Amino acid sequence: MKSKGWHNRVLVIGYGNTLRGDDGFGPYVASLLSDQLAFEWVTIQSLQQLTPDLAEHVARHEVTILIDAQEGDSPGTIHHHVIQTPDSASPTYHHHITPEVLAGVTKALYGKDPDLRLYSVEAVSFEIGEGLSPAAASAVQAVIQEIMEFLQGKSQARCYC
Amino acid sequence: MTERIVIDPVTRIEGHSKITIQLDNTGSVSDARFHVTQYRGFERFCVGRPFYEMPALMGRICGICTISHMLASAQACEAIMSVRVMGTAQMLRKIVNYASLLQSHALAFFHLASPDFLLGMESDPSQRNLFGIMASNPEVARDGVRLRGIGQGIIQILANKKVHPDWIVTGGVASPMTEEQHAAILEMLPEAEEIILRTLGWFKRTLDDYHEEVSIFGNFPSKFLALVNEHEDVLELYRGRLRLVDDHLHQIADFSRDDYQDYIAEAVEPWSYLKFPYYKTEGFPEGIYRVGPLARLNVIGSTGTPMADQELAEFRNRNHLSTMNYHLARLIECLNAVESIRQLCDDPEILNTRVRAHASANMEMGVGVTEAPRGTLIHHYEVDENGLMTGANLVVSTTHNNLAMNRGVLQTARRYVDGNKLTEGMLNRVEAVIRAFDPCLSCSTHAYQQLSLHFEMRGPDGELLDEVKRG
Repeated sequence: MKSKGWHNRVLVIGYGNTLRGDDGFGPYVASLLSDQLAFEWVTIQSLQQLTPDLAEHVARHEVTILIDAQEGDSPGTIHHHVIQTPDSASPTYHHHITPEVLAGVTKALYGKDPDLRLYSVEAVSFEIGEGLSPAAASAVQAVIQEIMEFLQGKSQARCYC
Repeated sequence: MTERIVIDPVTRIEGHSKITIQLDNTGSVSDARFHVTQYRGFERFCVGRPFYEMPALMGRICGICTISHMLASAQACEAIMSVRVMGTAQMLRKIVNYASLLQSHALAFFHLASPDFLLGMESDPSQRNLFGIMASNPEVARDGVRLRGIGQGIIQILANKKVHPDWIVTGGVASPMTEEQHAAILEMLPEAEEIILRTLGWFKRTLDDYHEEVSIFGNFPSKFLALVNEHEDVLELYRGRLRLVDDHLHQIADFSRDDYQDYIAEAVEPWSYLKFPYYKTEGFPEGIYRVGPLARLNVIGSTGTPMADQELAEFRNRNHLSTMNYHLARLIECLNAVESIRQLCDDPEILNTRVRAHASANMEMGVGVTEAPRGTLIHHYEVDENGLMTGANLVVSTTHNNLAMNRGVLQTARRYVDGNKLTEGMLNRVEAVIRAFDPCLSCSTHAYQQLSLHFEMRGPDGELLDEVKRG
């Protein structure tokens, strides 16, 4: 995965474990976006999990787009929502954090209520194994298209090319 | 009547464990045990696989100590190959090793341990964590997040991934350092140095307020084991000789990695999956020793860098037997790591592009030893004539400290546990001893569990007398 730096307007993070079936959805989409996107003002990262140190980078960007896989009864269904920043970060610490906690940490440490958007697809399986299920794979282009359209809108709003 | 208190699991450590405290008829602590309830299988399932796969496979043992495991594994493989790793590759490996230590120590100090010091041992456990620090001391939380990010950032710059990179390979590293990477790493160092110096300032003052804890928490005589530089009396994290000193810091053994089994043996107890290494000459359990930051500073004459040496000189005025001083030792090592990365980057050979040696299996056995953030890490492999693994023995940092952790728990429990009541302060102090060692149970036994706390007090017949749950 190539990185385009940490100092741009939009941060895209695809996260998950590529050795856990559909959990690799986020990194896979991030990888394709990295190959296809020409915007220099977009930073794309592929990570295994969200961690508190990302808050610093989220705070530096106007918008952060997260791409993940989730459990659900309708595999392949895409969900898109804006993360609401909680009043306080979760009191529980684990190795990884949720998007809501990431938003809370960003606000608590850097005083910024972040514009954090999550695209996630309902998965078939998170069992050990590489590659996406057909249902998750079928959602890849749709998610890319949605993100591209969002970025096109940002591009037209103000040209940073 | 005798009673038994169980803390299950211990919180804010890497992995899953529990503590039991046995009370006698008078309500006094008669015994205490730190149980590790996870299971490890890496030594078994690597058998039959080609030895050159080991660095990538063993790196998966842990997400925090990935680099340490990969380095020890690569060294063991290179002993089997009987090759000498080129100087530049060794320097590059040292840089990621220092970066790994930075991110791990930042996690241990800021995320896991600092709430005890800044919020107090008696504070509400639901707030006594990193998020509580964000509310009470946001500048400290920012420093912790940033320092960890710098360590991870350096790993990502050189090895292309923060966690489980595949850049450390048998014979060297997968790619040389570019000028762009070199500049990016150097750019990060001043901020890291600033954070560490600022943290050392407030933490040394804070530690002075915890005089009682320092004098009680794991304050007992033991030996200390760590690597030292092959040629000088200097701190060494990557590769060197093993040195054992006694509680007066007098050297009692100095040996090469290949001879580790002449000095160290491992005992097994039925109540824990974690083995109990000990100094063979003194037997079990008298051969108790400690590893990790405190041990490393106790076995050396110099850290090898000027600012860390100034801190070491001050550190020498503190109690070198107190486990609580692991935390301060961690910060001094962070300073040394930043200075050392700068020294390595200043070496003109660092941009040399010859960074890998190639060979097949030439020996039947190889041992690799590094200093992981938590202490001495040994990988010992044996292979057949085709280079397929026939056996592996891992003596992981946390394992070395097992006897000492048990001793620390017993000592602290005897001071703070009152059999008639369970208090948060008492529970946390018992846990804090373990936390000071920064055990990585995912390394030592290899499983991950969600952390929570279950504390039980039981009577002589196993009846539940009292119970506290956290998380």
